[in-house]
Amino acid sequence: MLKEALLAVHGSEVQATPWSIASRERWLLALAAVFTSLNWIGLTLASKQEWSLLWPLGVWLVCTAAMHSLLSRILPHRDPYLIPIVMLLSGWGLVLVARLAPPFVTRQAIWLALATGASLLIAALPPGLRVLQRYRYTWLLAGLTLLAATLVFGVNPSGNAYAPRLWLGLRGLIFFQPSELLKLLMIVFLASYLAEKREIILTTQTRIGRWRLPPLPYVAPMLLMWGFCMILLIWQRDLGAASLFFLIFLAMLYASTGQAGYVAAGLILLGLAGLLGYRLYDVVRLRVDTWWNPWPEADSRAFQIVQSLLAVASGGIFGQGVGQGAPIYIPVVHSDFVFAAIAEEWGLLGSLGVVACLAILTLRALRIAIQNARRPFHSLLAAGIGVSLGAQSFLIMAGVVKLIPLTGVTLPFVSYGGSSLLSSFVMVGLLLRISDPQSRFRSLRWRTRGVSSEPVP
Amino acid sequence: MTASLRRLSGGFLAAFAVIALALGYWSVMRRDSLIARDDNPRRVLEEQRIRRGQIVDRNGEPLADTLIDPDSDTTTRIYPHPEAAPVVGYYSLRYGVGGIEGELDDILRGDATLTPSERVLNQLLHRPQTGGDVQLTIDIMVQRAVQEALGTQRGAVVVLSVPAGEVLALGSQPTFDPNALEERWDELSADPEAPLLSRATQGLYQPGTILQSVILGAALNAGAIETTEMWEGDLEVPVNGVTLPCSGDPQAVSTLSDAYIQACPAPFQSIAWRLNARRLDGALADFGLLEAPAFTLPTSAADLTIPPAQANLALTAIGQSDLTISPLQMALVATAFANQGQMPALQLVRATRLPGGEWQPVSPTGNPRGTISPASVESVAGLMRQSVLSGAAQAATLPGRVVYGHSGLAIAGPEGSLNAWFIGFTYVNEGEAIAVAVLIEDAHSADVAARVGAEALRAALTTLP
Repeated sequence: MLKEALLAVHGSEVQATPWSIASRERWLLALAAVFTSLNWIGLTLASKQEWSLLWPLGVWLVCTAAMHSLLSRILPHRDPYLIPIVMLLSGWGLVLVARLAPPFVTRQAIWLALATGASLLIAALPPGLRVLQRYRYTWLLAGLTLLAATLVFGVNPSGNAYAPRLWLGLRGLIFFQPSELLKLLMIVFLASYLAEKREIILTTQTRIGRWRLPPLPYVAPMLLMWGFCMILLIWQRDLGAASLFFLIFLAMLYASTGQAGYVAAGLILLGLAGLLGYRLYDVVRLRVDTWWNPWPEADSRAFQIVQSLLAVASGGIFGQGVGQGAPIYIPVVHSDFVFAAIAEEWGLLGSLGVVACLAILTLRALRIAIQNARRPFHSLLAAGIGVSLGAQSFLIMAGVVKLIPLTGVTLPFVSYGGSSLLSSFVMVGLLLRISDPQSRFRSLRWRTRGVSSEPVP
Repeated sequence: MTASLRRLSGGFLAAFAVIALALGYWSVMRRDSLIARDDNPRRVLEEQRIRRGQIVDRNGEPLADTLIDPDSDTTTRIYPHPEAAPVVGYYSLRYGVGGIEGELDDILRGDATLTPSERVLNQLLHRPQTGGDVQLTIDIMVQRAVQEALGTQRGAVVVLSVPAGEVLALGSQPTFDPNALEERWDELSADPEAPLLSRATQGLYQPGTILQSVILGAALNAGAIETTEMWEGDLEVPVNGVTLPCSGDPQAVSTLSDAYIQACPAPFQSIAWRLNARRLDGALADFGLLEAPAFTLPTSAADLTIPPAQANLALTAIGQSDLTISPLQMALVATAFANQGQMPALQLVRATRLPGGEWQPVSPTGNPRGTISPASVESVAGLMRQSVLSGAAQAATLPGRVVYGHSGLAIAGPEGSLNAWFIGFTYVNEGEAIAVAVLIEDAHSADVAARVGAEALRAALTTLP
């Protein structure tokens, strides 16, 4: 059954023609546009708002049109499912911000425009991805420096003195979360490093008795860099991001080496780290306790998760309808618990839709990785991005439905938050670029003929 | 690398499938039990959206109304006449319902008239539930007058129309403002003077000498005594070191009639002995004093294992035995003397109306009952008139009105504090009367009760046609 489902997602290996890609994407985007518009109109009616407040829908439509039309010229052979899924989710996210935190909708719309621009830039930029591959240490160090800067200059946009200061602020107008950028740069670093060293790692092995260990000299630099990231994140008390980084690292190591032992050892380490965190950090204890049995403390420590489950229950199968539920009872519903709000207002149908979209996105990314197996860096980069989006989605959705303890990560594309939106869109830009098999030649064509919509013969 | 990537894909697919299953679990299988949780704020929100029906008085004046906030689509319950609180009660999201708000909750919320399919449709379309209206027999003018007449005194007043049995007012002091219930709940519920208790229907008090009308009526009815018999014995009775006095003037007593007119307790021990315990208990039962009256609001009666006169005839004769009674029960006794011995069934809810419908009349609660013969009633009523003219109930005199009344005192506690009672009536038209019962706690004389009774009768006479 798993195999059939996988086959359905990966599809047959029939070569798609540029026309069919563009038209498939167009139809899917039209569906996304209908869905988003209906929801905006429904929200405006339900909350009796002014019609002029529909303008973010306009921003979204322009972004969608720009993605589709520009990339049809630049990347004619791209994966046709990525843009529709991403635009559907981000449009839905915009509706949710307008629904749950109306004062933030302007900021989110601006971030969506910036993120779309960044995604397009990444997808179309003349220099190849080799730049990323070659200067991997530089990129990662730059990311680490930014993150380290938050130790000194960090702020929390909420102004709460005790909340983790994970953001860098620019005159209090725009806040940026360097850990989002670092996540992307770490994926680039790992992809580059593993692409280069995986053969050596696989062939030279240290043995201690029966145990095969990875060759330390080759693994050490990678572990070191990754360790820096983890220490900084834990220092920052951004434990959601730390666990996400760890999962990305494990999955990429597994993808490149195929050694299940690494994954098993890693998961045991994660469990030990969890136990240690439970003893050391109040926040970890809180999350684990309220996950294991929230009901006795439903009105105090476990208020958030219980309210989240009540919202899911209140939604039922068909949901209360946009703007007509009561998800505002969940604290910080617009970022961490946006998934519960979807379950309440769009019901099981809506929340399963989101799960399906994120699952397809993850599997398409992994499919792109498989298709690029001959180019290890590209393949591992696509895999890393897929794993990152998939693991992040899983962490927050599973937390909201009480499958695992809560981790404070955002739901990609949907949650309120500019840095997360930006980095997710940049990841999709990279995916789109890798998914077009001819992208290798583009930088050359760009220099000689400029942008061309003609397919390469 | 391809193989491990495929396995990763499979892993993710499985992980997302588990999330899908968990979603189904919470939103379908556990749905009902979660929604029913007390800490689900949606229930409060849903409740706040209900357009609760109006409660109006007999002339259509709103006593409880619902304001709708168009912005939040929520409602607020308001009470334009807080003096009706002893009848109307209260409605609070936090503390529940009381009074008519509680007893007719189904109609006021609209639950009583919704079919299951309408309920589901309402939920799907987010239509607010609309409740029905309730019209009471209360006259807010009379209600206000009795509350003002009680003033700062603790006590209760019941005003009934005869022979319809309609409740015109149910006064109780101290009382509460249902508009400010939530802010003051802790204070109100902890107050030793029990402002949330409706004394008129649920307060149980020693009857003392107010029981004399029943005893005298029963003795005359049985032919056990003549009212013209002379009395030369004691007039007052010591009970546990406290004296139960005459309510009127002991100097004026020479016959059994005088003993009734001045409400002196001792002669009634003799009357009760001559009537005998079994027949006295029968009379107490006939006048409905041994059971809680059938009524829309909760009522109380003494919890007795043995009939009171058979348990202690001497104390029952002076109203100081285990038999305790409510002002509502005493008001029903008054109606019997105004109505040839017939006690009407009580009526507090006059009509109900479905949303958008017409008023539908509601029948009275319980059944009318007979007590003693019209001849015996006439004898006692004549003495009640004498009592107002020259006896213990003189304070109930209304200029230009023929008022019948009887006052009494009762020992209320071990410290010897006295409660004052008054029952009375006056005819409005041929065969139609207003009957009243008053109880004042911790009174120094029976006059305070008679005065409040007169005020209640005056208010009822001026507002009724």
